[in-house]
Amino acid sequence: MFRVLIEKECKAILLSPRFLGTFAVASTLILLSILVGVREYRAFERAQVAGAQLLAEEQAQATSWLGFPNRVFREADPLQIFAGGVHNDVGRLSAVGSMSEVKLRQSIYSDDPILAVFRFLDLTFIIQVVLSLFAILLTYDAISGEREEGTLQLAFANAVPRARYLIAKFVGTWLGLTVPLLVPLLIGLLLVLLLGVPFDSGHWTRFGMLMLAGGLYFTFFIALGLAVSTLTRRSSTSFLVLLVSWILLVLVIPRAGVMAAVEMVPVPSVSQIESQKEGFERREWEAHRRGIFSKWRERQAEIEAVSEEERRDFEDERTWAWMEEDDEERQAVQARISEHSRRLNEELRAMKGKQQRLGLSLSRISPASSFQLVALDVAGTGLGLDQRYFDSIEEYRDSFSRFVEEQGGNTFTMRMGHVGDDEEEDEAGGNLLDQGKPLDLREMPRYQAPRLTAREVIAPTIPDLGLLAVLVATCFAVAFTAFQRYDVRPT
Amino acid sequence: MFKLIVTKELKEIISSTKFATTFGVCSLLIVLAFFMAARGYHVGRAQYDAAVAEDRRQLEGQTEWLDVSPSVFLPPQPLAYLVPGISNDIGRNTEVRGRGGLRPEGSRFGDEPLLALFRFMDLEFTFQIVLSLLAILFAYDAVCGERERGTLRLTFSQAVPRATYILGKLVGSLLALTVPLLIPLAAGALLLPLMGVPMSSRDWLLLSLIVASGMLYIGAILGLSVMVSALTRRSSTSFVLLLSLWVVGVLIVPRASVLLAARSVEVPSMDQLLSQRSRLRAQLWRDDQAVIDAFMREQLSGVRDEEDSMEMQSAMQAGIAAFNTKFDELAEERQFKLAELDARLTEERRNRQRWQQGLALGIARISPASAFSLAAAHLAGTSLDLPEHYLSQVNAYQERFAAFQKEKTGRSGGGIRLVIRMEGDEEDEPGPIDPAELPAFVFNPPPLGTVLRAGVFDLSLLAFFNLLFFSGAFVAFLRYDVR
Amino acid sequence: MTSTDNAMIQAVQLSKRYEDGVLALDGLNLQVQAGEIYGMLGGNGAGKTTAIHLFLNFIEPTSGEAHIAGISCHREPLEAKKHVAFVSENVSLYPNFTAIQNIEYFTKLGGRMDLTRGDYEAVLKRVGLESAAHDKRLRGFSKGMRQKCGLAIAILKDAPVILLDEPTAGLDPKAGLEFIRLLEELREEGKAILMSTHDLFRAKQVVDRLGIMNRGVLMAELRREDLEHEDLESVYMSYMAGYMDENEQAGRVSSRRAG
Repeated sequence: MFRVLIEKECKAILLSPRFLGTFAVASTLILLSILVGVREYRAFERAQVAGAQLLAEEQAQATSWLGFPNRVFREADPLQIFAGGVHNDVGRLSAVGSMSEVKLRQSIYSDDPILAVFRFLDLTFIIQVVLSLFAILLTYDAISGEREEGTLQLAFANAVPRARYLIAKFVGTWLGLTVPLLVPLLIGLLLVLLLGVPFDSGHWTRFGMLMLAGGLYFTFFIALGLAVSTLTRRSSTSFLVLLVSWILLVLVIPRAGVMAAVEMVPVPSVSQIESQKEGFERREWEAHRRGIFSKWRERQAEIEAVSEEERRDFEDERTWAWMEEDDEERQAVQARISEHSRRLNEELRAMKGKQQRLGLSLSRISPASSFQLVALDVAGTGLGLDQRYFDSIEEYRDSFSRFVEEQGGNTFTMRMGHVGDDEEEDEAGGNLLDQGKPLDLREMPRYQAPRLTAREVIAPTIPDLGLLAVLVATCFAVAFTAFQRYDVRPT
Repeated sequence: MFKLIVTKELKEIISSTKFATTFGVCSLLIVLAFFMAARGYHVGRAQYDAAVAEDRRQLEGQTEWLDVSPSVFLPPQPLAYLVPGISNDIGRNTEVRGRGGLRPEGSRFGDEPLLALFRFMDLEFTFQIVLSLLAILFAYDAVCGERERGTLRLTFSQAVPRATYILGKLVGSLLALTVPLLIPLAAGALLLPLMGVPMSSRDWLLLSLIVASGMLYIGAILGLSVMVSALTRRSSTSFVLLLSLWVVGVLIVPRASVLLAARSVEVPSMDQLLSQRSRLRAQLWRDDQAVIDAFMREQLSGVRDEEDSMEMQSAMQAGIAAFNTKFDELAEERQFKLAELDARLTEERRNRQRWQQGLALGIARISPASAFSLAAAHLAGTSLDLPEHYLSQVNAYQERFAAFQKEKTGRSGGGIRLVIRMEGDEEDEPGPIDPAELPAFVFNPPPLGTVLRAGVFDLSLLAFFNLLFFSGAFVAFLRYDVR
Repeated sequence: MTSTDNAMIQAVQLSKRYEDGVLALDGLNLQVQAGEIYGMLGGNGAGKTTAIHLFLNFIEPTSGEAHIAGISCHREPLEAKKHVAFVSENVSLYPNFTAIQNIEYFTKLGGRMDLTRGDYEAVLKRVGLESAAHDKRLRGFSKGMRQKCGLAIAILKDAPVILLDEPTAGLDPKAGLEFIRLLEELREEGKAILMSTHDLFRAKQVVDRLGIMNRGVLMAELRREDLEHEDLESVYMSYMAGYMDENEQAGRVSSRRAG
């Protein structure tokens, strides 16, 4: 009995022109999105590699450790092909230097605004928006349509238990809709491999998770279509209800949730924080400068207090100690600045985190958000992206700074009047003790971009996947209950 | 008879549950879009004011105008929250010194990726995606549905000219769809001043033009739907066909055009430009370095020879003054050469970008969805012209600021200064600057004429699409089999 | 009315009142033996279709009993349905499936898994559907062709009881006659057939007994012999009397389910 019902369901879907038309459209979109994704992945890779090469040239020509040009670049991740997320919005490189803030600049969209006019469509978008509509289009009359046609009545003139019929309908519809979609997905995946995108086992696992999430999401809309179809008598009503639900779930709620959070948890803008940091930094150096000069005045006085003959010896004797004092003083100032900066960063991060958590929780009312969040987290292009890079770049900055110090970068600098991260000024300070020849870069620490492992990606997605599964089960339960008492007669 | 048909069309649509539901949804979305725009504007404004105030506050306690490098911020524009365009993707804050390259940083989406994560709720999206789908929903069975129901042959068993019928249908459905939308649009628009969003008369004019472009877009989609329904016999065929056309026209064509253009026209990347610039700068600096070093040694040796501390001090100060002048001279020369290179490279890049943009957007305009998107963005001031315009305004400000600095201190800003204070300098310690004296950055939106000219092209393109599809429907129906 | 234990179709005081208060069927008592055709005659809203739906357990009776082959339709619906075949009023079937595909599906659903394509074709031929149409999609079928498919499904199920709801409505004279001939064949095979109709002429041709229903009540039951002797006109008049009464209460009637 099950087999008969399921077979008929699959056949009915595959033979309907509605399915063929929408399947053609969906397949085209899937393939196109993957192809474009691969192209963008390659372009990003090329841009980053080119940037790194230019940097290497600059570094080869540099002659002093002060003002030494150093930048780090984000790495391309193959999963970005399928889920762009915020990858195009977040900066792709950061300057690294003891004086400069770690901040990701120059995002793809800010460099080339033409690309932002019509934003990219990735596979995640296709699944989230197009396939969900596709599911609704093909299930809105699952039960109500058969009722109107009279075939439901005819079926139940036989010894068919209601539960069995509904389960078979669900399974059959699911098979009929999902299995064909595997075709363009697999072709797309094949293309990705043929085009030489490096996929290791970690990537496979993550891609699998993405597919799992997409599958659950798609199943939800099938279940929803089925449920609404068992709750209505006319197919046209069912279609309208589902369309409205789709608009609310996919288009409105995710964004509304975020907007509500932005209202409830206001966060100072980045530029405001940066102004604060700059101001603090400037005041510290100003005070330091004043302190240094008054100290030198004292020392000058000490020198003059000594007799003429002993002056030279006295100076030689004291200079080294004074230098060390000055160094310590300067390091203390630097430490205070860093500490202040770190504190402000953490405060901002904490507030932003609160805002984000609230926004995401609110938007999770909609399965579209749950799905998108899983997809982006798995691909590494979610909200964690800039945080992840920020932390690792800061670590690198610290180790690089230590390296520069060891090279004698801080032994003697006369702090001039102006402080800033203009390379001109750094060069000015540095070139006063220019070695005049290219530096030895062999020992210089190299930046390693953070790589996502499958394990650290999977754990946080479990709650969202669970949520999706629960939603599917709920819809099915609703359909099940409603169908027990469904009036199968056409009039 | 024309009136009769139009009235019947109107009544039929408006009394359907289909209409009630979709109208309800549209109203909700439109009003929500305006509401979110107002709230977003306030949040943006608060952030902007705070940033400006903070920047101003950091000026307090500074003592040298030459040390000051204020930041200028792109202020939030109300229309940009209705039609975001690329306003969220470009840098909004720029640090201004007396000279040097200007680089706007800090795009909204870059700073707050949470907002980039879930987009969609703006007016432009509602029109482009949702309303167009609903237009299809309404008109996909305009002709073939009536044929299926049998009412078409009943109609033409009367003396009804075909032309009158199809025109009546087109006009009727157009009115039924667009006129009710005016209600939530007006309500939403009213919401803006009610929620305290400052709208100038220029803003109101542009907003009405944006709405007009949206209506033209819906009209075009409606015309297309009626045309397809007059070319097919079954409504399910018509629906699938229209859906496919929608996917291609709204989702695929715009993006494909950008990618095609990017592939055909090479634009040098920012990285390349900056690298060329920094190479030249390093070169120039190295050349000047020799000069500076020699100069300094000469001056300092002169100072050291002085025995008397008083003479030493004055010699020192003379030396410092000479050094500063020399440094400024060299810096200005360098700046001049760099500016030359900058101008040349930027010009080249700009030209190629324009080429690329023109190609991309030209191809994209095959689809009325692109035409609408571009029209709305131009009118709202969030098109590709925005970053250019902002940058030119900041450049102008930088010149004003440099002049201000020169006026105050007699020297040009930026670069390094040699400041060595010796004993007895406390009296000469300069007092704090007055931040109020700093010229303010005022962002002037582009002149209304320019904006209108930019938007008018796409508006006429939309009108053309309307004409095209309406005529298509007309012609198709003249030969339609009504049985 | 004699009550016999081996009645294949049996209704005992079967009643149905809907939630809105309308009494669609009032105390129906009815029996159909094997090898008998029973016709229910009445206008719209008389309760004919309601009775059939009660036998198929599409709705539950308010009171009374319905039995198919001695099994209670309401207490053991799944078991009862194994013994009944149904031809509905407007046979729609699946438009994207061919005639053979539709029949195969519904026959298998009825429990007969062992049939071959040849079996299907044979039955389709028997009901008068030409071979050319067997593999055509149902979308283009006329009402008569679809009705034949519906009948083919019922025949293939080979159940002892057949229920038909307005089977000849909308059929042209030739198709109607073919249909009647088939029913007679099935009667010869020993099926118990219950048929609702408002086609007086066809009913008179084929039924063994005719129940005249009006507003949910079985007003009279006539045997074939009575029909032959009765003047067509008076039968018609008694039918019309019920019909005119119905019209007077058109308001109430229209809110009820047809039949």
